[in-house]
Amino acid sequence: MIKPMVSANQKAAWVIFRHNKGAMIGLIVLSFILLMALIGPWIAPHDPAHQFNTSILVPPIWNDAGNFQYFFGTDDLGRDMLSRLLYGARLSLQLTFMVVLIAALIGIVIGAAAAFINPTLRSLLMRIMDLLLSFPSLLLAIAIVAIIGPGLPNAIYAVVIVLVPQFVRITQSSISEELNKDYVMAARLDGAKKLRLLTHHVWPNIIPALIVQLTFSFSTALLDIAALGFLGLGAQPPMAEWGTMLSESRAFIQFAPWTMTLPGLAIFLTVLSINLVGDGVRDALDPRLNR
Amino acid sequence: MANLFSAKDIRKSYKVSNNPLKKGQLEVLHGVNFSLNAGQTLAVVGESGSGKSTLARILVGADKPDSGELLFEGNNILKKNRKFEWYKNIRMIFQDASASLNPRATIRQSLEEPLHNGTHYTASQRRDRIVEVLEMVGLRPEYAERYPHTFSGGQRQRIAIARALLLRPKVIVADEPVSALDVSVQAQIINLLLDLQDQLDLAYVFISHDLGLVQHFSNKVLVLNNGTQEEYGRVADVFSQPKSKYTLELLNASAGYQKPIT
Repeated sequence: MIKPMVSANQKAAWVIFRHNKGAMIGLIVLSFILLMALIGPWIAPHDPAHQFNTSILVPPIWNDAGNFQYFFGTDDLGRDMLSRLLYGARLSLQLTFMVVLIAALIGIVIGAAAAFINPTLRSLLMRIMDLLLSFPSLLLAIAIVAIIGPGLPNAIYAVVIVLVPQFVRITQSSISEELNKDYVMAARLDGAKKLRLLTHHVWPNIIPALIVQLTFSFSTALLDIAALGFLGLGAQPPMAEWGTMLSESRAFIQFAPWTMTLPGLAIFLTVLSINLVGDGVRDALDPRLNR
Repeated sequence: MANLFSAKDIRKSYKVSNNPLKKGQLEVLHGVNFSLNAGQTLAVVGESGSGKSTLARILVGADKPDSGELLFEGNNILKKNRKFEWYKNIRMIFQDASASLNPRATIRQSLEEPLHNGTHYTASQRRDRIVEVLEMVGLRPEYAERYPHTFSGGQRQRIAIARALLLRPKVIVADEPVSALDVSVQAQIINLLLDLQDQLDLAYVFISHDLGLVQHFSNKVLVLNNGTQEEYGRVADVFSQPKSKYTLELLNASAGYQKPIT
């Protein structure tokens, strides 16, 4: 009945967002990266795994020794960097999307349940979440991978486990906060049952907080997946994944800096633009500014 | 005459701390009694923290009393299976109308809620009823499509009154309905409440600290002091010959109240 995002508030939020220069630049860069990830396989000049034995460590195009066939040069095995970066964008963003969505779904369900269960049980559950939150996310992910073993699927589970408590906490605290407000009491006196209170009255009011959490989780997830790849605990070598590419090229940083700089730059730009967009969204949806 | 709505020895206390090792109860209401007929107004007065709002919350079912009885048309509505009847017949108007409206719902969506939960109306019957009550409180029906933040304080309080009227209640509990409004708007809202009382034979429980307003508005008055019922009776009697010292102090401290000429 109540649409989750109402047009009036949405318009106001967009106006605030549009006037935030950093956020708009972030949005443009992020859209470009997303577009590249989407159409990557069609515009990539080469197979990312194909090794050109005769063109090993060719520098990028702007170097005198560069070559138009390999726009961003090639790595130590003669694989085309541009193609690997494009496929890497696809893989990294796909994984990140998946991880964040799964974590958000689990976290929101647990958080919503936590807001309605009895206080003692809730305290217990939230203290467990606090315990998980007290570890730096990457450290916890590494510890989990160390227990369940390296590999991409395990790295995904680990990052999901790391992200879930944040969603539980934000969902539980925003729902609890809303439940104390007069409009919820009014709806209760209008005869609304608990489930209806949650879905029709409280839910539309906590969506802004969840959107902000989603954007920040997105950058954490991207960074953690890349970091696990870099440490050899996530995506395994022949895969074109940014973190893994970074780690493979570590040995060549002095005489073939592009092999390391380019994937690093890709991670940096993506995380930066997500954070800029996240900041913009937070400012635009902040209820204190929205009044 | 049979009473429409009455309270017998309502008591309420809150736990002081959530710590199970610390015991301690803060008693907020030490036995409140009153009775009210259709078309009458009972004013509940007292200082801040005297338990007025707690009483209001208990009367509408937002809070449970520890003991006591609430009788509506002779039935104790505190018994479990009476909830539906209770929510339909005894409705609340909150002090802060803007806080009582969901900021992300249109007025129509907020007004649909009691009809959706409390009646078997079809969509078009609900629509008609919403138009009807909006007109009753002096608002235009097309306002229903707007969001709460687009209205003034007085208009929002009218919306809150419309919401209370939707289910054709017999009692309305108003917790300081005008104290957040400026004086000219206060008068409009008070007149609206009086008109509605005439038209619909409503009984009001009117929580207030404005004794001048109470004198003008109510038939009976209940004076609360720290949760104790200091005095209860007809407004004219209580205000002209207060039996308790506290009531006298309250009357002397009140600016709006006009002493009757003796």
